[in-house]
Amino acid sequence: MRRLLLRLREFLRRDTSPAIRPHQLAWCGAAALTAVLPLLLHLPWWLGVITLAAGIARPLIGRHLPARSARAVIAAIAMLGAGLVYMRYGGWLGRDAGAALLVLMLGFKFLESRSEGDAYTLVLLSYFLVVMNFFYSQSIVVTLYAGGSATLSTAALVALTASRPPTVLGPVREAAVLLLQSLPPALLLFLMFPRLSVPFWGTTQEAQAHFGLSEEMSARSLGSLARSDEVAFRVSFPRLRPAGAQLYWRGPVLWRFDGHSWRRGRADWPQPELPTQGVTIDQIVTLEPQPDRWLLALDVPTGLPEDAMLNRQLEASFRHHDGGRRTYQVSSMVGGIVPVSLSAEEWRAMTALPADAAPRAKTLAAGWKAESPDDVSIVRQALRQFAFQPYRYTLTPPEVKGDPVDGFLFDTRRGYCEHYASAFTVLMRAAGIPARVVTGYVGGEWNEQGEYVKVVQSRAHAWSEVWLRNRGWIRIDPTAAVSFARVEPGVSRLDADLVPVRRRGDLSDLGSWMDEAWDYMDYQWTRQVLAYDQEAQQRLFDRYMPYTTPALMAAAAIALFAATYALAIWLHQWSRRRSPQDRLQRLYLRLCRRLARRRPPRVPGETARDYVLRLVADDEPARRAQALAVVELYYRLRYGRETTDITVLERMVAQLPTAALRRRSDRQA
Amino acid sequence: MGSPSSTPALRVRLLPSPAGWIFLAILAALLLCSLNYGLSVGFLLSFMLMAMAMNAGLRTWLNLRGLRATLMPAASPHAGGIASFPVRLENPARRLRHAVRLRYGAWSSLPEDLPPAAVLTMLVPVPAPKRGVLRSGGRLRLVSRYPLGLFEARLRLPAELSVLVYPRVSVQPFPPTAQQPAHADANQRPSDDGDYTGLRDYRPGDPIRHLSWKALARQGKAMTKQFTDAAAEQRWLDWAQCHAVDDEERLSLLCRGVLDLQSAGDRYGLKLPGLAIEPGSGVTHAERCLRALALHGSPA
Repeated sequence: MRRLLLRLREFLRRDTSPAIRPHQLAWCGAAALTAVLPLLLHLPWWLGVITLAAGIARPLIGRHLPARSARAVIAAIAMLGAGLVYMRYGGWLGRDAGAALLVLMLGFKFLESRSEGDAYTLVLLSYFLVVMNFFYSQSIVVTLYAGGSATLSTAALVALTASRPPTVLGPVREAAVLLLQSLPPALLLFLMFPRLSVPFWGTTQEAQAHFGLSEEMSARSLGSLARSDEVAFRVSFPRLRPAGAQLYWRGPVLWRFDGHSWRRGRADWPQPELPTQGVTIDQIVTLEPQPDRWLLALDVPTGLPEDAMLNRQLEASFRHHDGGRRTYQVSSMVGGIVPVSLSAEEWRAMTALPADAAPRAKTLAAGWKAESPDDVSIVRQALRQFAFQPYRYTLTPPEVKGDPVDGFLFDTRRGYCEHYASAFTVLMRAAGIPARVVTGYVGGEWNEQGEYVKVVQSRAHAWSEVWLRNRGWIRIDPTAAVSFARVEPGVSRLDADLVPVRRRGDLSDLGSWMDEAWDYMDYQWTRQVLAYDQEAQQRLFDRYMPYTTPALMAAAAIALFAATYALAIWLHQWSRRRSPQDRLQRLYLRLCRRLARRRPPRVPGETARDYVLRLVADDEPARRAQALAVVELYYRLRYGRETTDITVLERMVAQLPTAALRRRSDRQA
Repeated sequence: MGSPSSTPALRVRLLPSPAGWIFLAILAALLLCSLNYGLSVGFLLSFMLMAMAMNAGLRTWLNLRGLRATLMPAASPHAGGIASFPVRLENPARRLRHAVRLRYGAWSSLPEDLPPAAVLTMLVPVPAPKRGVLRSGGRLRLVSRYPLGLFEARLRLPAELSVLVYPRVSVQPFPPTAQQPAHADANQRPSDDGDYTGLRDYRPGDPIRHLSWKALARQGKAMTKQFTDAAAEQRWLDWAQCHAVDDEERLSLLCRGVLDLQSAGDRYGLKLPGLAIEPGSGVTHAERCLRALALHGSPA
């Protein structure tokens, strides 16, 4: 046991590879730099500075400091860097901290690499960093860049192994050939390799996962999304397409108000009642990664996929969600009215307001109720309030002092969708009308080329629903009531509008056409490649190979993999048979066959020429001379530097008359 | 050498190199991460790297396959020096072989490229500290890690490295010995200072520069010219006349003597206890003497 440990230690410590050469260092540095650059964009600036400084400092340290103190200095700075990472991220686990540590490790490995073995380790680390990029984004651009980065790392490996400093393009070409040849088997494995439905550890959260609708809405909670152009989801419509005004995407419903913020509640409600009248619109939604389980669909979702559920508030959610990308089919009934009756408990919950909240709003609502107790007219009054009073829509409203709702309604009169929705819902409740806040997204951009709607995060929206007797829940969007003229310049009002289709022939369309085309590519990439999870794989198998199990598929994939390599080896063998040396050999044997039918075996040590001469020893001189000439040419071709075409020899051998059987019997006689 | 049939196929063995093991570990980590976090593109890249590595392994194996290597006899070194064993590499294929190295024990050569149909000779250095027959064990291998350094292909050469090591050359010159008068001997070999005295039949071993070309052209027979010996000196390198500390030192002195006289072109003989070599000159004679010196005292 002890001996084993000693040998292991010796194996780990032994690095008998020669010292690293300058051109090798250049290749390693280039590979490491390209791998690290995209990551630095996501990490703190000081990390980038430290890493790049480590790269630049390498020649300086080598020259000015002796080896041992250099190593100590490097170790000290490395530990300092690791400590900073810990302080910044509160730990060393997790995506950002892990990436930061890896980048630091790469920088310092570059700094202290001395031998060829170190150089190899450096390049292999670069591969790891290339894949780390995918934790942040898997878009087409990032993927192509990663491909280029991997090619450069492979080229670095080729340059390290070469016998003399190679040209710049040589290793790159070699690497590109290697990677391209590996694409078909990789695609095969990609399709067939089984996926996990539940991760081993952690969750499948990605970068943008902190964007999303929350279960709580207070001042400014949606504001952070308001400027983001990140895609939230994309929707295709297989049959009917909705009108612009119907593009309300339903998310969490908030109905508990504490004076400042709206929250979801949990209660033991009866089953949801679905609308029965209206137009059913089918959707295929590709949802970008989000942390919550919300299943986004058109208002109101009625036909959900199997692993989703709908609750009393008509919120659709997934039973299990790992935070990753998903594609699902859903159908919704659009029409804007959900006919349902409320129990007394529900009524109370949906009209509840804290006693000390919004006193002025309560007074206003009470005034409306006194004027005309009809619910519909109260709703109209509220909307008129927003439309004709000087309310403004802005993304940067001033701070409200005191009660938030009252301050917005009567003092500042400036806000965005959540202010309007909140205030309106409070007014309704104050007037005794059950009301709740619905959050989600509104509108979208229509992509003509792919025929789908793209909804970005800045389209996050909050609106209201009120319950009217004999009707049910009706959607009211108070933000839409604000006069168009009073929208702050530069801010697009969140209308349920589709971007109008461009007129053809307009030159300025080219830019938007390119945008559309690019987004279409992105959409296809997302849907076909990135969202290829276990479900998608199962669907593919069911469609094309219905009687197979994943295990069988994996076995088939491995078999095909092995077959590819067997084929490659066989092809190589086949091409070797065509090599000049083998052809010469075959020609020699053919010559011997032509000279004598039954040939005595060759004595060990007898040269080719002697053997041939022995074969024709009893023949007539002309034939002997001919055979000799052929053997001479054979010798020159085989051992000399002659560049005569081998076909000359072929012709000469062919012209040699074959030995007759008669001669042999003569000889024996 | 004239045999056109290829040498028996030497098996090329393929193993992962240390860098290859690290690559495997990284690949496993990548695959695990991609699987856990559902990174589709991570999968794709991991599979590509895996396929690429296997492709590279195939190429590494093919890089050495079919390569012919022959161990040639080495020139005898002197004790304390280094024996260089030439290995003749032949690339019979039509493709270029990259970064091929010879490895013997801890030593490995620089990587060399072998163009198609090229022949390259590499030297394997083996230290030769003692005189006598050097038989060096261990494995002589051709290795290559091209193209990616993740795999190592090895081709073992089934040959034994052995060479005769001559004694160390002494720094002191051999003390001058007594000269013996010339014998009027018909068997004497002609020397080259003096006057021309006539021709006699050529005997194998006669210097070529004494060959009479005119006689050859006229009569078709090889004849050597004879000259008078100006001062026929015959020197004897005598064991008994060496005054040295020990036997090895004596052998060193004698060795030095042989080399000096050889380069001067003189005739000399060697006297060792139990062995005497008649005087002669020429490279073959020198080798005989050195061989006797090298093998002195070793069991037959």
